[in-house]
Amino acid sequence: MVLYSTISRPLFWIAMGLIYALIIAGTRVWAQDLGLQMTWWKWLLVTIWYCLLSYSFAGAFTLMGEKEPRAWYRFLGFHLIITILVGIGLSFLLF
Amino acid sequence: MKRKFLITVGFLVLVGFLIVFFSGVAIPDDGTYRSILKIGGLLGAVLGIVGISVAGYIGGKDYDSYTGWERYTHGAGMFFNRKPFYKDKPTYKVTEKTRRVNWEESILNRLMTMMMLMMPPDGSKPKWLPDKGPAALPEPIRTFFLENEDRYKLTLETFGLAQKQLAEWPTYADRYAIIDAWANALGGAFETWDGKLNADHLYPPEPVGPPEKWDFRGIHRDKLLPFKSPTHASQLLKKITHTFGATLVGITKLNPDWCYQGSLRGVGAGDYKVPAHWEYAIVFAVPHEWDMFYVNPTYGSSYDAYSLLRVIAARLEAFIHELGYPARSHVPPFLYDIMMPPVAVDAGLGEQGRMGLLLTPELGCNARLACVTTNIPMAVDKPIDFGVQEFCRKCKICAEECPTGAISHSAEPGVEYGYRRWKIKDDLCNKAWAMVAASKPSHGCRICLAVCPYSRKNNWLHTLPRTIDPRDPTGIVSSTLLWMQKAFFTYPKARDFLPPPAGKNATYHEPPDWLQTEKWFDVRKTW
Repeated sequence: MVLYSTISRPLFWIAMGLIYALIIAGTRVWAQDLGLQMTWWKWLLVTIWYCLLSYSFAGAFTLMGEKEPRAWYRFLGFHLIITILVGIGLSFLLF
Repeated sequence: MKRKFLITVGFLVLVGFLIVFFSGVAIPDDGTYRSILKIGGLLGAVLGIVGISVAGYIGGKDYDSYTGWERYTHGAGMFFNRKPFYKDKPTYKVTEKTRRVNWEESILNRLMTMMMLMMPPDGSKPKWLPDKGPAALPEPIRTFFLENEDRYKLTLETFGLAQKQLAEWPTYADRYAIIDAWANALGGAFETWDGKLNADHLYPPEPVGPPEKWDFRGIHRDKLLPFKSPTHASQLLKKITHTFGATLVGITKLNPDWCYQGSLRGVGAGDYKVPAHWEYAIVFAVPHEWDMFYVNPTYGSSYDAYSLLRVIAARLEAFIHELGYPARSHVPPFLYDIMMPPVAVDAGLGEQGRMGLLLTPELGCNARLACVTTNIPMAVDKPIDFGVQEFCRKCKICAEECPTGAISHSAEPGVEYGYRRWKIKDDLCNKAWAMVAASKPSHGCRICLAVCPYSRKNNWLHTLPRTIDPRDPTGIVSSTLLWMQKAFFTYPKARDFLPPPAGKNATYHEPPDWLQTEKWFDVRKTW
């Protein structure tokens, strides 16, 4: 698989690292511009929420790669509902 | 599947661009740098999800995540850290009164004896046929069937089903042509294409004569090469077994109860003491090719693992002889003097599951076994407890999926030979072998192995719970995982694994491209 070969695998994760760095930098600016009073535990909750979102997609796509015919979208649906509900709760806390 | 994947990725990218586009419009002009960071942050958030999804997809699809089929046969990254789970005693419970397993209690030993009598390998007249009844069978099978009349009837019923299976095979010969050819090619290491033991081409060869002679036959040194210590012996022999192709290797003192009483290969029927030089067992496991493993029973075969195990055992036997020590192989398909799963449990490879077979942390049930017995003093491995007994108690998927009901549904294990474990109705198991669409019963079933939640790939999604669950004393993790397994994953109904009219030749997964005859051959697809 070209995307994930011996050479491109480390490059892929370097790119992912840069993307995460960009997310961190961007989120900080968004929080300032939206006037959010962020504390360390609020940042922690936001990070956990994004991890949950990532987990939902990563898990579903892993199952898709494994050719689990229905498990992947059931997994995605179930976890996305949880993620959205948690996200709504989190937004009440932040805004 | 590929199209769905591309559509989903495309959708995510589109959503990402839309977010960025509208964000760009909505962002007040408070400086280019801040705007770039804000747009970049949003774009990054979307790309992060896309990237992790791609990584997940590849992790699920990649051959590298097939334990034992990775770029290396024994590299890091696929082994479970057993240390925290070592126990002094195996997880099967021992009652006060234990005994050796009788040779005739193994269904394979009974069947092979009966087959040899009905169809002698030398082509001579049958020495026994079902119409002569169980009383005409040789001992100890005679007594076994006279005492278990229902099992005799079930065996005869299975012979009838096997004939039907053979007669119906032309219906499926095109559909399953590749797996049949593949299995027969691999099975050449021990049997002919039509399922008879290939006595002229066995590697390792079958023992001839008593173990006190046969197991020493390859030794040509004047004196043995002494190891520095039992630990050195253990470490080297494990390493060597890995280099011969084994995925998992363990060493244990051989419990004599696991050695069949009543017959000995190379000698024949009779009561035997366990040979004194069978002190230790080096037991090893290899998996089946995983894509094929998930499409049992019709697109599956045991013969890839079986042939590899035979080669590993033969090489290990020869290696030990070269060092000046006795060694004897116990190998598939049925050429064992030892019952394998409990020996592997003793050696710390895993635990015995509800379906009676070995369940390992790395390979789940996709672990086929062989061993070499020897008297080299070696440091032994401890048994492990990684929570299988508790998980199997709750799970029961294998029992629910077995088309002939051979696997126990009971919550608690029964007692067999004085050992507490879930009992398998092996006659019913064999019945399934003769019912699925295959060219011969010896191609087997393996549904219970494929559907086991532990039989999963070595990627983050499965390795993570496999790491967490055994460390959870409350059982909440295993209950949650089991709920997810049953809620998210779809299994065919047990009878669907059978051919029509009872079933529809179902498989757990879709067959991989390389097993679909219609993708490679000019055949008319009628299925």
